[in-house]
Amino acid sequence: MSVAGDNNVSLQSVRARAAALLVDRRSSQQWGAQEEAGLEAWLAQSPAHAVEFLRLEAAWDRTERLAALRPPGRKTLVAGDRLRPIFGRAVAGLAVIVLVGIGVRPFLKAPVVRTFATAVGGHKTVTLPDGSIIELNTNTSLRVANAKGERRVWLDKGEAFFEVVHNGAHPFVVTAGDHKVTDIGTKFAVRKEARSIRVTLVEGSARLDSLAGAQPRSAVLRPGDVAIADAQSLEVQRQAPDDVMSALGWRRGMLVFHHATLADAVKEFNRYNTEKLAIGDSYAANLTFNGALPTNDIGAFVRVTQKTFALHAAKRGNEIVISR
Amino acid sequence: MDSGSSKNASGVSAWFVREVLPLEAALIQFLHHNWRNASEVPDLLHDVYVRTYEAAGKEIPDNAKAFVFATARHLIIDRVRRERIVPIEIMSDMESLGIAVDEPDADRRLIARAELRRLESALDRLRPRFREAFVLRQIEGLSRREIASRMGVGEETVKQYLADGICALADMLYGEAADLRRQK
Repeated sequence: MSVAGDNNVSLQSVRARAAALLVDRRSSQQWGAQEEAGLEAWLAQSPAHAVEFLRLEAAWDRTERLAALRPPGRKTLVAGDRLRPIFGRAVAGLAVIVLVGIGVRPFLKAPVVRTFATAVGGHKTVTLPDGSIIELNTNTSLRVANAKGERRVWLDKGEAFFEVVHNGAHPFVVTAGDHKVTDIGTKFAVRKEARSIRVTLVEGSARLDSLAGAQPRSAVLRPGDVAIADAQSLEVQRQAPDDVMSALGWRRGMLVFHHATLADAVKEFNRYNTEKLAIGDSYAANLTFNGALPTNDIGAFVRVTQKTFALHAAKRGNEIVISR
Repeated sequence: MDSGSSKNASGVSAWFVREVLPLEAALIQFLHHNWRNASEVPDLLHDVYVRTYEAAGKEIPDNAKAFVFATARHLIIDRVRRERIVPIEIMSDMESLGIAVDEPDADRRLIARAELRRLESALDRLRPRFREAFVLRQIEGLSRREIASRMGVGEETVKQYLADGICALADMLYGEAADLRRQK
């Protein structure tokens, strides 16, 4: 039952193995289905393996939050002594952190990787050499590479819309966390959140591979499909064309709400604006409404809540708090 | 882990991460109070986790805190029997030790900020090379190869830095009481 038993040595070796597997899974570009199966088998061998892996994985996931400390406008961060002041400042100003373009990093080896990024409220369109188009939404960062004839994009943060010129010999692959979208000639959007990704397919088809969780999962997406994948599940919903277009309203600078709660709406607005909104009570949080508003017009949204729901808005620190 | 119930297994995993791991600091304190050999505490902790995880595979306990500490108590009793050492008269319970494992303030923004401070402090105490590798990976978002060339070491070394680093971070993030969180 217990692998560790009375000696610390076997616990140490189980932990070391768990750490090595975790680090490979999270940072190796060679990690594929075979490696995933190997991990799966190791985890299934003993609950001692499972608990050690889970614990390290949970700690690793918590450190993902550190990305919020990326200082604005700096190309590199020097590790070591200078960390403290940088962190102190970043933490103090957390509510108003603006992540800006991190620029193209110097790469010593081929393939050439280019980085594109937008700040909060930003919107940028990039045309790739093959004619494919990537539209970056607010607060987004992605890397593009041409490797061995494969066109690869890593969505590190945020959301992007892809209009891919199909080329059967050179698949177009978008990786977001542990999930991979491979185009089969298509227009689609990928949005990366802390623990999940959302893929909205507009035209053509694409395959979604999720390497997260206990078992790798795949789904082939058709127009109107919205897939949400996290570490535990992969769920595909079919949506009406109008709803799909609503979800992509940001491409026209609009947020489109359909039976959305104010809490959800605030969350959306906060993606696009450095001035943040908050909801003060659960009554206000659960009110629902329909409408389309410019992504950068917080004032218009606040006026809607005041006029339609008779709510109050008050400035508190860096936030506008909406409450009954 | 039952191969026929992967859905169940992922539910257990999520429960374990959400409900059990946050108890680690309190659990370590409990084990130290009730076990004379401090060097065996990490091993005991691991066994508590294994037993808890196995039990949850059959049925997820309603009260994680009560279940985990009961498991720890039983484990200690089992070991005491097995090793034929003089039993400890009264096992101190969590309350008498003043171990607080209550959820911190419900303000999520405060929690997020405290969490970040906690991560920052943990990262700060990491060995410099581990820290550098972690910063380049998790803050800068560099690939392993990029980190290797930036640090002037091989990719395998970077992997080892990250692996040792995450073990140390997990000990700090779960094994230490979250004093920072309770600050108001």
